[in-house]
Amino acid sequence: MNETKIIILGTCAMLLPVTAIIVFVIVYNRRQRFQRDKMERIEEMHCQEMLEASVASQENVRRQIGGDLHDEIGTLLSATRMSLSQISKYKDNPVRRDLLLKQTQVLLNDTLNNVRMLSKELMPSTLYEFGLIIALKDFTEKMTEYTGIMVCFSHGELLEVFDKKIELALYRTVQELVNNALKHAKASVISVQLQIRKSDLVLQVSDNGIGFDLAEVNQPNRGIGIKNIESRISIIKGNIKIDVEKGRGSSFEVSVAL
Amino acid sequence: MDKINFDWILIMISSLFVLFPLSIGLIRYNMLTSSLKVIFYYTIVSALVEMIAWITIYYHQTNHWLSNVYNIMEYAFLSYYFTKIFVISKVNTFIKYFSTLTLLVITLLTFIDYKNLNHYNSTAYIITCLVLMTYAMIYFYELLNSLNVPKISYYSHFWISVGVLLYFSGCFFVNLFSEIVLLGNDKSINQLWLIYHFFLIIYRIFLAIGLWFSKTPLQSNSSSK
Repeated sequence: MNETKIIILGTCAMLLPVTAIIVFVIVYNRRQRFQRDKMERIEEMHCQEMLEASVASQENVRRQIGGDLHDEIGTLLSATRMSLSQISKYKDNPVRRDLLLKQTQVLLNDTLNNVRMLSKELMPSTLYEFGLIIALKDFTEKMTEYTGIMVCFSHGELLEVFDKKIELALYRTVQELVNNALKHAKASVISVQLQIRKSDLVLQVSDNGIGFDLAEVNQPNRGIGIKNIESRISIIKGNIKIDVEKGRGSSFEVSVAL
Repeated sequence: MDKINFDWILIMISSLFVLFPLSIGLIRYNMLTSSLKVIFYYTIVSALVEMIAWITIYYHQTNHWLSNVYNIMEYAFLSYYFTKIFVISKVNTFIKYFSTLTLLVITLLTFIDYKNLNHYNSTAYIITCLVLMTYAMIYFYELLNSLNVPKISYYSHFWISVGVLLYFSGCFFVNLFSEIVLLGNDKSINQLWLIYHFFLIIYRIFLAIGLWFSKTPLQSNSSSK
């Protein structure tokens, strides 16, 4: 009797924990597979959103260039053409002809200036010639001058020139964030800071505006600007931290390993 | 040690198996994390206790006092190990206090028992087994919730916890039955102790596997302890 008891006891003592462990391993692996699939789906969705944001951003730029070409350069060139056609009508009136010629010259100068501004917007020459710090200084000064809103830039003793890809991505990020702060946040002060922290280049853009709801912006088809920034930063393998709340202003910190 | 039979061979093998995790711990000592070092020190103590036990057997001395003292040390080492591997701070804090309390209870049961120290104290052993089995199961639950180990079969703490669960569930039944069910039937109790030594061999193999897989990276949301 006792031997049977012992055999049953031994088997139970062995089988119970062994079964528990086998069940644990099966459940663990199944859960892990499920989590992996979920993560892959999220990553896929994120990539898709990034791609959409990038395409939308390109479309925006094209639309803007198209608009600028049509509204400003196109208009100025039409006016120039009309002015030139008028000149031929006043062959016998040199005073009127000279006036028209001067007018045409002014129109051509305006067209040229517009083309320059457009090309500068597309490709910031200061950034390529003098680097990120001078370009950001130039950009923030111009924004303060044009909008009347204080856009401050500080870089401490940092004077280095960095990798061109990093510089362009950070410059575009500042452009996007400052534009957002001006357009949507109703900020009166915008601060841009650039510094080296350990071995990272850290860019901070903050404003004292009305802030926004990050969850709302993260919805699909919303907040293309933010997704566009994330896409740019991910290309240069950087990290972005967003500290924002409705009614409290916003703060963005981008860090890139050098 | 008058007669060498199968029972003695099994007991000797189970004792010799302590060298298995001990030697692996020595080989991989530099790779051991602080929690695995606790297990390594525990195997050193186990080896010393085995040695003393064999000396007492050689001199025909009773060694129940050694089992009782070893039970306290075993509990102290393993509960300390578990407090080191639990990641959730609330669980960790609870287990720290609970372990201290149970260690106190086990020590009191061992030393202030109405029977003398040379009587094998199965009550203290049953408490030890129950608590350590519960810790192992809580740890499995924590692993299931966090899912931070990419390959569980290459994870030290998994193997050690499997060993703890198997060995202490075996011990639990052996102690429970030896004291309560069999009530001094010596032949059957000896058979039960053979089962215990069988579990001990398995346990030491799992400890060795655990010490061998001492360098398994975790996923980013948790750090290796």
